[in-house]
Amino acid sequence: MDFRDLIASLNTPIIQPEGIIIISLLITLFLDLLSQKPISWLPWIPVGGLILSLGSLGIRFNEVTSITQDFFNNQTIAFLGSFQGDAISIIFRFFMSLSGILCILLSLEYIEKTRTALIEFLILFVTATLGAMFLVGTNDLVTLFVALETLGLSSYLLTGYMKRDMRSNEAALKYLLIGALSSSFLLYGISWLYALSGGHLELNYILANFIATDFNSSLYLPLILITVGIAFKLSAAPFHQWTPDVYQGSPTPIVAFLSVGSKAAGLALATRVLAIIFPYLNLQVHILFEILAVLSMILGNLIAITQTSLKRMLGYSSVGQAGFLMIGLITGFQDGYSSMLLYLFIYILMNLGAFACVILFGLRTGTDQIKDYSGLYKKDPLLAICLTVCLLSLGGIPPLAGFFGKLYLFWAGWQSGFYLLVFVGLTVSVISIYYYLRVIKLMFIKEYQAMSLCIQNYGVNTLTQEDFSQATLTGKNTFSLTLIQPIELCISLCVFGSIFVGLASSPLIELIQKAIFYTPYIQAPISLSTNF
Amino acid sequence: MDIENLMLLGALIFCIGLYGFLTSRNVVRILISLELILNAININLVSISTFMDSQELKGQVFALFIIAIAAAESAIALAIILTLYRNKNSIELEQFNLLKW
Amino acid sequence: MTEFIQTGSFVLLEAICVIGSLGIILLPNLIYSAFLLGAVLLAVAGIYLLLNADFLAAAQILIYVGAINILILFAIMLVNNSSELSIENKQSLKTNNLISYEPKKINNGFLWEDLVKLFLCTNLFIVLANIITSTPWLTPPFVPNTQSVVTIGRHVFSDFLLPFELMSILLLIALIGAVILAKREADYDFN
Repeated sequence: MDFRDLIASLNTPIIQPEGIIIISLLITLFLDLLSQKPISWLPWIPVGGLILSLGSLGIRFNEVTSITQDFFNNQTIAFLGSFQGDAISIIFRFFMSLSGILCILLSLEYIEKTRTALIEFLILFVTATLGAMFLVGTNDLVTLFVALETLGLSSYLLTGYMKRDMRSNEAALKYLLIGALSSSFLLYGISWLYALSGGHLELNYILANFIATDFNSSLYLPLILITVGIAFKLSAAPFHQWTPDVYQGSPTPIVAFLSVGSKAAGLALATRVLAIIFPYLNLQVHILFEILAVLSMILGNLIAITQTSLKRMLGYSSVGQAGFLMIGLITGFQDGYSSMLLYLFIYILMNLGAFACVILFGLRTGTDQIKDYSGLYKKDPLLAICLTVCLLSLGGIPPLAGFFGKLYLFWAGWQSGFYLLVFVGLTVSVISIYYYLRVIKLMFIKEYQAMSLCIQNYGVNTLTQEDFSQATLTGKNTFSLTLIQPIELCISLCVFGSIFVGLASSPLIELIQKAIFYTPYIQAPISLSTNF
Repeated sequence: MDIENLMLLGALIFCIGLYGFLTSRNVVRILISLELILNAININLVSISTFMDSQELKGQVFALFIIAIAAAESAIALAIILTLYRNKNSIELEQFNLLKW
Repeated sequence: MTEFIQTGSFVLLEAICVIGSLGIILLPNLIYSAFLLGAVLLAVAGIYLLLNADFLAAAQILIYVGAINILILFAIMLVNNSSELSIENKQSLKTNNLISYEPKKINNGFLWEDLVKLFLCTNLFIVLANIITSTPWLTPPFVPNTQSVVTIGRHVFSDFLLPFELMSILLLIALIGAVILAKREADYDFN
């Protein structure tokens, strides 16, 4: 094939957002490599690249949602069938970029305080975001595996980044072993798909060849193997055993990214694979994922009640939130996917807000035990209020955003007849309010004697506690913007989102439904549609 | 030497590797079992590509990618083990609960 | 005659694979396991040769045996306590010594959890074998491809160009990350 024809047929403008991120990554790497002394504005280059990619994604979205219906599949496929840039993948990639930006903002000060290398951290982080962005747009089994491993390997390295801390090493090893096992299960299932489709690796061709060769009963094996692999990534119960230990041992910014980015990537993978390859196994897929969702909701929320460390409690609550998101995944078709996407957006904002508050508190006092939060309102009312808003939104209290997201999810599930899921969801939501309110109640204690020792000495220079070896609190930090520190910027964005996204959810829902309209493979086929 | 025998071989080595992964107490042996599992998957892919896809050989390309990613993964795993070992020599082990899965 | 040679060599290589992998998981000495891994990887490369995958066999020997196996041996040598083989250390059972020691086995060489896992893995293999033998595999007539390098090269630069380029970034950060983790800092505490 002629070289010029090859380049023209690759359709590269589809991955323009990822290309911008790769260029910013390389610029950061080379500038850091070639400069003699550390450049202080270098961390803003990856952030700038991610923001530019958000803009590029917006432009792509306008292009994709304005083409006519006849030419869907050919115009959004890039790289001769490896990458699918349709509307729903643009939305997922938007979520990945957004979570990448917010996580970088909340990690700058943390990395500075622990005196580890900052630029390498950012490079690993941006690569993880890049892997997640390629994962949600994959159209080919090889791209699926390579993108999954890019996300995974960067996450293992980031988990073990605090190499002097024993718990970080332990968490990294455990995460690597369990992650490698789960991706090998996924890979075995993928090899079975290659076998059963008679030798095709592109997702559309696999489906077409299933029908031709009629292998109905052997399809359960790759379905179960792929579900096991995805369930590990989503940390759905009973495959969530790695979550609390890894979340407790890793540095907190990485926990924030794992709880948000990994889950969104796992959900996107589940959406794409299940909708394209297994649309005729609807009943079995529903049963499998219903079991996963019910177990996640129950186990995640019940065990979170007993935790004493706020990081671990947020980890278990994220297992429960994954259960909620799976309700939307199971419901499927227009309402299910749009409710899942809206709740995913709200979940990213409120979870990152909660983790940012935990990081800021940890930077100032060095601990993350829940009992050390008592009396925070007296000493630092703004931080207490921000944490309160994020926790209440996670619990689903009106009029915050979490309530509207859960309302839409439960409504969509009820409409499609999944009464058990909605009932379990409502019950555990009420239970979850208990452990969120417990933290909030502690923060608003007024008596001086009841406050913890950390709060009594708040604001004074504190020395080593759990998180880092020689942390001291200085006045102005290297990364301060003119008036505000990056982590405070992140907290304010997340709190703003948690309050107002719910009230402004109607235009967002319209946008998401427009995206689903322009993505044919996840809509209800005429013969299988029940009610919308 | 037909496809069923080769897929049976792949399944057997996969299960043996899985057993070794789940029951070893030594971290390096767990890594070795992981390499066994990835090789079983590779045998599967190459045999399917020979018997079903002999003109396009896409399975062999996939197997090549898996070999490269396995190399990167084992390098990272050994770096983590080295860091763990270095810390273990100088810090008291009290909460080393790695054996609990 | 050629049929006999092909079948015979395939049975031999299969036997090496199975017995080697059983040896890897059952032998208590870690160095034996590492060398048996080398033997298994070579046997797998031989199977690739029998399946007409000549480039992949060469890549397997170069990367797996030549790089990964040697890396594993380096790691074993680096983190193994030299005093592990002395009698006094074997008496003091510290299960925390995870990297270079195996705990004493009770109950004739098996712990109870190991039996449960053995049961699970055997069941998994029986299920897989059933599914493999009961699926009607429709294989087209066998036409061997003698130009596997050309075909693989064509795929890597047209169909699979995106994963190929993504792999380059993955290998870059694996390199950076491994160096960061394993680097010895200047102000490292030695207590």
